[in-house]
Amino acid sequence: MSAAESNGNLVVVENLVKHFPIRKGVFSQVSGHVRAVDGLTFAIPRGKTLALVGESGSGKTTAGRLILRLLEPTSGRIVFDGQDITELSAAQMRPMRKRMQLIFQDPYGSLNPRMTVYSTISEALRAHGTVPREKRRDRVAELLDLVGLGAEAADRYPNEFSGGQRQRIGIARALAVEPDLIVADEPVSALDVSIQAQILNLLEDLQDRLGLTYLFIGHDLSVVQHIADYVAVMYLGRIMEIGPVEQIFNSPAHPYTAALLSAVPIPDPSLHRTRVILKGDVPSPINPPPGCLFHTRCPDCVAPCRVNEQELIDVDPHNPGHRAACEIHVPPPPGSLKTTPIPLGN
Amino acid sequence: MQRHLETSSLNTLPTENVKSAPRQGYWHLVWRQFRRNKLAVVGLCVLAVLMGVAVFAPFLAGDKPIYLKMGNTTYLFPNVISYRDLVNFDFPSWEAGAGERIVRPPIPFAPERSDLLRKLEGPTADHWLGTDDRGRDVLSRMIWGTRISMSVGFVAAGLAILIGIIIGALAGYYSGWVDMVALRLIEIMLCFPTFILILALIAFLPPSIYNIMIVLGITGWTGAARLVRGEFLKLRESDFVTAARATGLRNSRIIFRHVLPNALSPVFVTATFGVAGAILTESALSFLGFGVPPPAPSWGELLSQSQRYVDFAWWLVTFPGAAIFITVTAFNLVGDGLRDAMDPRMRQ
Amino acid sequence: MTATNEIVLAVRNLQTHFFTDAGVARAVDDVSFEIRAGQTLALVGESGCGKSMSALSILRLVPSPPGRIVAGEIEFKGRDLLKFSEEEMRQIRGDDISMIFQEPMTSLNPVFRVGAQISAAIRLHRNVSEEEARRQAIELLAKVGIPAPEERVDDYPHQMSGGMRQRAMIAMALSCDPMLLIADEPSTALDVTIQAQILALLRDLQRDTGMAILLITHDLGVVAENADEVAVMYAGQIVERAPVKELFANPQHPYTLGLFKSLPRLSKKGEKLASIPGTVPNATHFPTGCRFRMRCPYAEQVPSEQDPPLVETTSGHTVKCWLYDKDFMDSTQRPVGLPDKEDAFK
Repeated sequence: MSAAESNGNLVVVENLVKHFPIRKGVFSQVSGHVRAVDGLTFAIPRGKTLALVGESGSGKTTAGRLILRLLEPTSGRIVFDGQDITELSAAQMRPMRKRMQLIFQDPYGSLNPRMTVYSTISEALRAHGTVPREKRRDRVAELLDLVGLGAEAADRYPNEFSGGQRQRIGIARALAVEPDLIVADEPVSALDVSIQAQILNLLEDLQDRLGLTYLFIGHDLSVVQHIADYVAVMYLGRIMEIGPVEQIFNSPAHPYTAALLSAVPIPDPSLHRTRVILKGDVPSPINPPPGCLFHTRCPDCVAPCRVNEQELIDVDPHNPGHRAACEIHVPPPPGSLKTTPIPLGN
Repeated sequence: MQRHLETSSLNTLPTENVKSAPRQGYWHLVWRQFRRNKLAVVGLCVLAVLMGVAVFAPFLAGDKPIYLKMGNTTYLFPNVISYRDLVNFDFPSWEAGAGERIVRPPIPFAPERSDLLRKLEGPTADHWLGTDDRGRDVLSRMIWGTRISMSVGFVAAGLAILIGIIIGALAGYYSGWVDMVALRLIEIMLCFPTFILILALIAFLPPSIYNIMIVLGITGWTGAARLVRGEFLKLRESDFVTAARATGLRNSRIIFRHVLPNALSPVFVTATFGVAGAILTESALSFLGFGVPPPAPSWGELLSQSQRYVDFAWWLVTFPGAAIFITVTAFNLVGDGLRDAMDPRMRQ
Repeated sequence: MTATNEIVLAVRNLQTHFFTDAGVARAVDDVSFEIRAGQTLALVGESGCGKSMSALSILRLVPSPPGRIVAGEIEFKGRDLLKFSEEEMRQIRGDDISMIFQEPMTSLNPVFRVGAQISAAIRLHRNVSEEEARRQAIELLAKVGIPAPEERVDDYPHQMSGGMRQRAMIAMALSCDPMLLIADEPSTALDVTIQAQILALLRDLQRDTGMAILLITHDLGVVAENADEVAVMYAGQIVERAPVKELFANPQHPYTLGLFKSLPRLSKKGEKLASIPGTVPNATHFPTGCRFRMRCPYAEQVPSEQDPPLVETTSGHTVKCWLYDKDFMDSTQRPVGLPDKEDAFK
């Protein structure tokens, strides 16, 4: 795929699949598979934010790691800036790593407790040789300043910082190599509300100034609504609905999206709303249900749902970009079932 | 741009925190916690004294003087430096004349020097802890025995830990078949009763202190290996290691810079217990006559000799026994203290 | 059933301190509140504000050492719990007052069957036969909405999903019809759809049994939908207390205002979220005077040495802030209250 073909998209993912084998017994025979990611197709336009949302076990974190090639995909294709990176070796991948970075959920586990902030941030500069040794200290100070920490933070250890401050250090580390893409894996879920707002503002500010593209992985829909341009709702390793953020939040087409939105507690005690409370739990990704993956919990489930696998279909054929995998709410137009990268950018 | 930077700096470190917070490197925190455990601190002091005794044994006991002025020639430290003209010189019987001077160690007896006229004497003003069946000074032998016990302990435990770290690290980081091989190797080692294995190996080797160190090392690594493997398996999945991989660091750097330093603290604790174990095993070997070859003094060998005179020569049993007991206890106290100090749950 | 509006528990001037190397941490510092039968009081605040420690103090479960309740009264059924012997406390715990925790996996013993744990809890406080206890356990599991309770009663905790475990935990807490249930972040570890189930369950159970609930949470959405009254905690103190609708309609303390403003829901992409600058002060080094002083946009106008007074602004709405102290504000010739609420924390 050429740069022209990628159509203003920094990342294009096609039919991405990751099955983790489950090994049992003395000789570690494979006894089954966890279908963590089971056929993902999406694209992220340059400079925009796509949010992957879903409950635990939906495969959203695995998807993030696959795109960064921190996990080997079982099948499918990952195209980064027009280049297919699916088959690159570890050595070929190394120079690519400075263009894509990761921010973690847990501000405590994501920093090496034995390394000072300076060593943590400068390590990336050293690895890629982007900044000569004598300039590294200045660059680290600049990065710390960029994320709202003082340069005096450089010689301290992670345990001297609060959760929010650590998260800033993690962001500075990711920014050190001047990446194009940042996969932010629940970057604010572990933070308090007031700190969460600081970090969200910082992420948005950095996007504006540095032209970053985000893959934002989250479960908190109010956060996602604030930061995302596009949203993909995942369930059991597949996308249930994908589209621009306003359409997903204002007119969800998939019953799962509607249920997720309805479950979010709203900080307004005078509001009285009728809720869809989903029954039961998320089924095991080892034995996903046949037909529509969501049919076991769906309030609108009818007979065909238990049999037919669902494909993503344009909600409004005249205004492509918003797609849902539910033949009940979004009936497929005749003869149009195929998977192509979703044209998110215009 | 400048203005923009200011607004984006949503907050910086609150200044009062920066001033009041002390430096908090990892070992600093461990030390602060360790210090609170009084017994462990006592243990550490005992170990410091023992290390001092081991290092400065020639200055504490021996028949060679620390300083000698004979005629017009001055010899500094003949106890540690060999002077050509002092070879075969009979220090013990030499008396300083006018203008001459000799400074002897506080215990002026060499550990091997026997005085058959004064054998099996109880503690006296000359021989503070008495003499053995060949009239050798027990205190002098114990002081030199400290050297042997401590060096066997540290070298053997160090070797064991080193082997353990290498095998455990490979098994834990690469997992898969490397892990399988390492685990089977550990299981095989664990099948043998360790002490019998050591005896069997020693029997094949010429008696020497180095062989004892090596045998203790190659039989004692399994604990450390299992520990390091576990830590590596856990750390391999940690976010900061994933971050290092996402940065594009090489495996070697990830292992040595990110995984190993974080895996070492529990190993440190095992090492402390390992030294105690090695000292005990060496004593047991010497007691059975498989240890450090005579006439080199070791605590176990001192105990071994004392067997025949145990009815009346109480000093022969008591003092070496006490030395072993105190040393092993001190190491264990320090080990316990370290383990507690490194436990993150203990920290506030 | 207790008559509604009767005060079940009254906490007065509670102080729980932690004696650490770094100094005395005043985790709970002069906290007072009451809970009425059939009502839910929410203790809200960010991590480390002392909300969980206040709850643990009620059951006298503060980890000791280093923690200790140094002063205060906890009046329950007309008696001061702080004067109870350890044996009397044991009879209260799990019987009249029970507690559920954030992480159900760690609060259930992994080596015993769920049913056995519930029946053991029943037999601890009630003189019933083993068969009767088991029958009641099954009944309780059914009551908390666990399907096929006759079978699930013999499950081990690890055989249940997170939501199921939390239900089982609630069943155990309800086994002796408590007058007061302390729920410490009961839904935080759960997915949003499961969270909605659990909170709905707690509401239903409260309606049926008339028990009082002390709900500890950081989520203002959960507060809005579940609480009758709210106490906002900051740095070991309650800074504002009001009925839920009143608090959301008219937040008075600057901290409460900041919390509401930093919620992402209230703003859109591109719009900067309001955020509270700085971080929560360390519990061993609280600033003098108002503890929110360092982060408060109104703080330059107030005394820095004296503790702010607790002012009742309208019936049932109290706030711990200088700006509501009439005498003080008169002396500085300013009107009582927060000026320019709209622009604060921008």
